[in-house]
Amino acid sequence: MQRLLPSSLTGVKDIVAGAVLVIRMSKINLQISLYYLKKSLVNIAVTILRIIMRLLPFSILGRLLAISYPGSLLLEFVTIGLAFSATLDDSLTSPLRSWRQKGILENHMVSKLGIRGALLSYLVFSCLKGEFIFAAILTIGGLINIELFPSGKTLFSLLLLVPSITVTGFGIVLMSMGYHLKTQKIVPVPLYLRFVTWIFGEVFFPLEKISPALSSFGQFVPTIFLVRTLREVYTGTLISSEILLRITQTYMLGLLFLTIGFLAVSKGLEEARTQGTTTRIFLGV
Amino acid sequence: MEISQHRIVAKVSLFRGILEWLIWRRKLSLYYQKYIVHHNITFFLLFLANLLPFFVWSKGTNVRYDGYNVFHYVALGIIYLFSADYALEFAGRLRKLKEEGELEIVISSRMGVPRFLLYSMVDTCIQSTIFIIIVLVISSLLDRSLLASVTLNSILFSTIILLLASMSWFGIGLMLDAPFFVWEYRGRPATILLLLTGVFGEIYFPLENLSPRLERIGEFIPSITFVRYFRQAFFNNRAGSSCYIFLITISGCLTISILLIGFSAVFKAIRLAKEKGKTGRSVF
Repeated sequence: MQRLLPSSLTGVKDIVAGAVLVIRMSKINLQISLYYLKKSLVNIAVTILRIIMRLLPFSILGRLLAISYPGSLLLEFVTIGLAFSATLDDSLTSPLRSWRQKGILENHMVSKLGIRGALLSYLVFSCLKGEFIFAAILTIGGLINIELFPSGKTLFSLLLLVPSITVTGFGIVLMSMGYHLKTQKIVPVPLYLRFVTWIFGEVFFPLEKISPALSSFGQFVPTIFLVRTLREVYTGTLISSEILLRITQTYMLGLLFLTIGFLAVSKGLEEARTQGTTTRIFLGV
Repeated sequence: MEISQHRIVAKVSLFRGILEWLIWRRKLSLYYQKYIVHHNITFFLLFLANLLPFFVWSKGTNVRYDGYNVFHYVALGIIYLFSADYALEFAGRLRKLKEEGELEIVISSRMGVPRFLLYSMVDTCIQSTIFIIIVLVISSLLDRSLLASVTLNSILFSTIILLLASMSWFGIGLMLDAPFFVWEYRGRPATILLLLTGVFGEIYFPLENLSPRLERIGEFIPSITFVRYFRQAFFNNRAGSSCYIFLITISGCLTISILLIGFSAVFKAIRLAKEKGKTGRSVF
């Protein structure tokens, strides 16, 4: 009994100490969550303002011009384009770069998941974020013009298509990162791709509205197929079997980019390991 | 004799000031060289991406905003918005230095905070002038009619108004960033103000196209006056140069008062930060 008493007392002490620790941790967690909540609320407000700033001028212009682009109004055209471009933009941010800048790339490389696992989990998170961004832009477009709200079936098909955009963007960013890891040169490929997509990717206007020479250049933009498919699904010009086929095709395209991206990163990391540059370095802009 | 001596002194100090600014600019350019090149390319691409859709959609139509061609209206609006963006960015330099822990260096340097701010403002003006020239060339390549009604006078007056507007944005940036020298929070209220200006500031469309309630919000954005004057001066919409001089005088008074408030707010904030020992690197 005497032998048991201290140990049981220790057990009670442990429990109390554990409870105190949990309370302290939850307090800290609450503070952290509140900090991030504040930060994300500001971010969300800024993003919504940005979307309104882009959509409102086109809504007004479309109303004045009374444009009916084949099967879609101007605002509809721009809303889908903007939703696509915002989703793609979001997927074009490289996690590898920020990991390296924070000095945690090595940790990911030696972790249980490995660098591929870490990248894949990041991709899943990006896909969810992409869905949210896409839905948010469609909602804001719908609030500006109620006719823009898609039907349930169309929305479902669109949300099925959205991850393929993220996968394609992520593949492209991995490709550029692979090159970057190898050469240590700053080539902001994703950034320039973003602008090329804006100008020649049928995001804000159809290619046929610009000169033939420029529009033929636009045919080489790899993401043009994705944005066209999105519009076709949105306007309901495709039948169910065609939609399925298109979804499969877009995912095939995305997976192709992703595979090449993973290969490039593996190669790049190998080179970086031999050069000893996987630790924290200053990467400039 | 005394007057001529004064003149010589004035000339020498002006020359010294310019020389100092050039040296400072050179040092800063070396430091930010990569950043500046990248940033400018990004800026111009962003400008093109913003402007092109309006050009494409309004081409061959008769729609007009406030009597202006839609493309012309939006082009000048975006020039104004981007200049404001530049000004806010240059105004935020000192705060950025504080976040990086280099504010102490500026305070203890021979140049001091006032000159740093003054040079940043000169940078804003020069960058805005270069920006307006390049952008006008690009825009007129897209649509030659943009420069059809423009005279040398109108370009001169509109550039002066744009520069005054940039300087007021610089002052506004200083005002909004000043509390953050003491508070040490992240986030930039200037970004939200810029976005609100983009929506309600007659940048992309006239306010009359919005519902009356929303239109009222726009009336509280002071920069509308600048953008309206800028368009009027550029397209020669006012008769006689006396009218332009009147516009410039009003804009100048507004700019000077905003700048004075901005500068004094930053000085006060830095003094407070010194007293509280917060001039070192911000901890988030």
